[in-house]
Amino acid sequence: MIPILPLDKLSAGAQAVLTSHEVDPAVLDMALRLDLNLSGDYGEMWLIFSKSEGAIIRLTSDGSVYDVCPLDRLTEPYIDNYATSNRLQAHLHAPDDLKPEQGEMSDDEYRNVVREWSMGGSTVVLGYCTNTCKLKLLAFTSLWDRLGRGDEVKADDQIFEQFNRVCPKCGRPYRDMRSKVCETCVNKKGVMNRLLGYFSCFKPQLIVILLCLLASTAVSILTPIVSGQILYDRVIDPAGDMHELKYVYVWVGVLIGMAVLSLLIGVIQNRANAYLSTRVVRNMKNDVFRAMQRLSLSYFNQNPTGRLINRVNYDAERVRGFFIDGVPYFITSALSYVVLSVVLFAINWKLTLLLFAPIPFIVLMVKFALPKLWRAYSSQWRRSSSMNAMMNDSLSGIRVVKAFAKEDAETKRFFDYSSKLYKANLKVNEISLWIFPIIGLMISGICHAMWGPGGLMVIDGRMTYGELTTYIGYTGMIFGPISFFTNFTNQVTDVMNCAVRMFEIMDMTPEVVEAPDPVQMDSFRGEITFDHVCFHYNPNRPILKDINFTIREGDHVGLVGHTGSGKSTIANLITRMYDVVSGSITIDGVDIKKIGMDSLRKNVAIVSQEVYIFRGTIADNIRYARPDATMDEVVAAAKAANAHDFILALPEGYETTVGIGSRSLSGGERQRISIARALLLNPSLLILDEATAAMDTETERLISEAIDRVSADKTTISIAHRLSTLKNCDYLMAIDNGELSEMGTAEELMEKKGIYYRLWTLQNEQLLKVMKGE
Amino acid sequence: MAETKTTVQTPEEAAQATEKDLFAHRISIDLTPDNAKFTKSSGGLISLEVTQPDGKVEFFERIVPVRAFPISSPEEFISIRQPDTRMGGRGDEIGMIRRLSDFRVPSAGEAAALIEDELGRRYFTPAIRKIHSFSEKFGYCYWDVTTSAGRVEFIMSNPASSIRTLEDGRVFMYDIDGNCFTIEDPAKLDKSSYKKVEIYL
Repeated sequence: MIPILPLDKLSAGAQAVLTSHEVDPAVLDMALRLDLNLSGDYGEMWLIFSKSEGAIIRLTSDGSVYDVCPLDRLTEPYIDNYATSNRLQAHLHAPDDLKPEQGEMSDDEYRNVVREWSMGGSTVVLGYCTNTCKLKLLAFTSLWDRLGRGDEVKADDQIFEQFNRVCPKCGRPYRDMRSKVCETCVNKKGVMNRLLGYFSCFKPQLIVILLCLLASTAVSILTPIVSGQILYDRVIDPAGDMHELKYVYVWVGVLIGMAVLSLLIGVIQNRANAYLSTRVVRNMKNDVFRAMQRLSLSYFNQNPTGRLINRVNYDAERVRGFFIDGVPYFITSALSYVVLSVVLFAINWKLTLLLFAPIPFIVLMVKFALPKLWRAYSSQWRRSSSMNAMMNDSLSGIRVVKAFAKEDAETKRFFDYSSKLYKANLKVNEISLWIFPIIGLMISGICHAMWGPGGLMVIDGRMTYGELTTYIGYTGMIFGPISFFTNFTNQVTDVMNCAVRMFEIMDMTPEVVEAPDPVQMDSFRGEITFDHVCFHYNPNRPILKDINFTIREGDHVGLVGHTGSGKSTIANLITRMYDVVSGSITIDGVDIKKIGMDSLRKNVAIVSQEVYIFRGTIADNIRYARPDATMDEVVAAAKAANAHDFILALPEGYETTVGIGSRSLSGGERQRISIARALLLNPSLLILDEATAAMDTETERLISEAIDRVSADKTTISIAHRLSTLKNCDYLMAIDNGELSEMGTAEELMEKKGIYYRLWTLQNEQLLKVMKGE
Repeated sequence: MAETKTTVQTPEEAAQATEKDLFAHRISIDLTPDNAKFTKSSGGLISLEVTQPDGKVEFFERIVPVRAFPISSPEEFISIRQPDTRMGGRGDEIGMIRRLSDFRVPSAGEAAALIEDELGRRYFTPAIRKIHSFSEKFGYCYWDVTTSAGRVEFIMSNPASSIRTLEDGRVFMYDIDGNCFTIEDPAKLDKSSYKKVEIYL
C-alpha cells in the first residue's frame, strides 16, 4: 500500500464518502481540500488524485458532490488566479468517436458543445479556492504533472517542505503555518529575555540605575516622615522631645539635604540611563540593519523602503522608550506602592481602609477612559503619517506639479490633510483635557477628604498632627502607581509588537543562502553553463523555460530579445540575486550554489541600467566595491571607462562630492562611473545589462569603446535593445518568451529570419524612415 | 510565383512585411449586444462569439472579464480578454464593455448574469457582516467573522497598513494570504462588532 502523500489529510467525512463509493484508500495518491464550494461560498471541496485508478475524484464530505474525472481525458491543469481567488481548470478532451447528442440542451448550449468537440475539447472547472489554499493548489497541480508523467513522488519530497516549515529557533513546526509565529519562541517571556539580552552587557550601569531607583524611592518615602512626624511632632510641637531651636535648623537642614540628595541621585541615574539607552538603541538598530542587508533582493521588492526605515528607527526607539522610561518607573512604582501600603497601614490602618475604598473606582475610570485616548492617539498618528506621505509625494513630484501648474491644487490637497490632522489633534487634546483633570481631581479630592476623618482622629487624640501630615503626604504618592499600572499592560503589548517585528527581520532566513561549505575561487576562467534552467516568480508565469547554453571563456556574447523576454533574469541568476527554480548554472564547472558568495561577487561584475551613485566623492564611488584600491587604480579604471575626462572637467576632480543633494551628474556620466566601479573590481566575468540604453550615440560609442578595451580577456555578456551596441559580440543569443530561440553570429541569425532578423529590420526601417525624412 | 518573389524582397518590401508582422496586434472593439454573443461553455465558463466591424465572426471558447475600475465602477469598463495561457503570457483584449447594464436586455440572453457571476468569483471579496472575535497578538490580528460568503477565520499582519478606508466609507482589508474582505458600511455593523474594529477605521 502506498501511503497518501502529505498534502492535505482526508477528513473523516470525506473518507466516509469514499468508503460508501467503495474506493479503496490504498489507491489514493493525494488529497487537496479547497476552501470554496462550487457556488463560490466558503465551504469545502475535496480533490482526490489516484494514479492507479486514473482518475481525480471530486467530492464534498456530505456526499452531495461526487464526480470521477478520468485522467486520460483531463490534461493541462491550469490555475486561473486572480486577485483574491483561484480556480483550478483543466482541458477536458472530447471523446474520440461519439457525436454529441443534444438531449435537453438548449440550441446555444448544443452549438457550443459541438463546436468544442470539433476543437478537441473544452476547459472545465475542477474547483475554487481562496488564496489561503493557493500554495497547496500549486503543489497539487505540479504533483499531478509529475505523477502523470510517471515520476515517483515520495512523502519526503521537497515540495512538501513549504507546508512543514519549522521555527528556525526551536525547530518546532509552527502551530499556524500562515502567521509563522512560533508560540514557543515568541511568548512574551522569550521576547522579553531577548530584549533584556541587549541590556545585559551593561551590568555596572544597570546596577547603578537600580541603586539610584532604590535610593530615590527611599528618599521620597522618608521625606514626609521627616517633615511630618519628626519636624512637627517632635520639634515644633511644644510637647516634642526635640523642642529646641537648634533642632529646627538641623531638621530643616536634613530636609534640604534630602532634596539635594534626590537631585543628585536623579542626575546620576539619568546619566547612567543616557549612557545605557543610546548604546542599546545603537546596537538594536545595527542588528536590524545588518539583518536586512543579509536578506535577498526579493525581500526588498516586497517591502517598501519607507516601511523598512520605519522599522529600523521607530521600533528600536519605542523599545528604548519603554525600557528607559517605562521599566524604571514600573520598578519604583511597584516598590513604593508596596512600601507605602505597609507604611500607611502602620500609621493608621482604619484611615487606610477608608483611603483604599475608592481605588477600584479610579481603576475602572482609567480603564474606561484610556482606550478612548489611545484611539485618538492612533488616529492622530495615522493622520500625521499620511500627511507626511502626501508632502513627500508632492515635493518629490514638484517638477510635474509645476509643469502642469497644479500648485494651487496641491496646496488645497495639503490643507485637506492638515485640517484632518488638526481635527485629530483637537480630539486628543479634548479627551486628555477631560480625562486627566478628572482623574487628578478625584485623587486630590480623596487626599483632601482625608483631612476630615484624619482631623477627627487628631482631635480625638488617636493620632498626632505630624502623623496626619505624613499620612496625607503619602496619599498623594500612592495614586500615581495605580493609574500607571492600569496602563502598563497596553504599553507592554505595544512594545512587544515592536520587538517581535524587529526580531522577525533578524530571524528571517534569506531566500538565497550560501552553501554550508562553499567553494572559494580566487578567479574564474569564465565558462558559464546553463543546464535546463527554469525560473519564475509565479508558477503560472514562467520567466525562463528550460534554458540551455554554454559560454566559453573569454567570449563576448550579446543577449537580444523583446522587453520582458527574460534577458535581465539571466543576468540576475548568474549573480545569484535569485536562485533557479530548477536546473543548474555552473561557472567553470562548479554549481554557483556551491560557490562562496564572496568569490562570486568578487569575480562577477554587473553594470545595469539603474545606476546608483552613493553620497560621497567620485573616487569613493568608483572605489565602492574595492575600498582598498589605490589612486592609480582608480584613475586607470576611470580612464578605461572613458570617465576620466569629464571627471577632470569638474572643479574638484575626483574629489567632487556627488549623490543626492550634491552635484548632479548626467545619465551618461553616472553610467560611466558605474562602469569604472565594475572595472576596478577586475572581474573575470562582466555583465552589462542595458548599460548604455539611456545614452546618446556619441556617449554609447565612448562606452562601448571602453568596454571592448577591457573585455578582451574576460567573458562578457551584453544585454541590449539597440542592436548596434552588440556589433562587437562574438555571437548572439536571442531570448523569446523565456526560451532561447536563436544562437549564432549576427550573420547566421540574419539568415535564420527569426527574432533577431525582425528586430534588426525594424530598427533599420526606423533609421531608413528618419533618413528619408518621413 | 509569389513564393519566389518573397526571397528577393527589396529592403522596403521586407520592411513593410515585418511591420505588418510586428504590429499585427488585435484591435479592441466596443462590445455591445449587437456584435457580441456571450454563452455558457459546457465547462461552465464563458464563450464569446464576436462579429468584427468587417463582418468576420470570431469564436472564443473561453474569455476573461476584467474590471478596469474594480472599486469605484465595478459595472463599467469591463475588458473582455483572451485567457492567459501557461506559455503565452497575458491574453489580448478582445473588446470592452462600456456598461454591463447594456447587456441586461432580452436580446443579450444571459450574458449579463454570466459576466456578473464570473466577476464575482474573480474579485472574491466577502462583505463582513458580523465580527465574532478579534484579537491582536504579536503584530498579527486574528479575526473570526461572518461574511456574505459564510463564516471564516483569517489572520492579518500589521492592521494599520492592511486596512484601507475609502472616502465613501467602505473598508477594504487584506489578510496574510492576500485575500480581500470588505465592510460595506461600518456604521451599519452591530455595536459589538463595530467596537472591536473601530480603532482601525
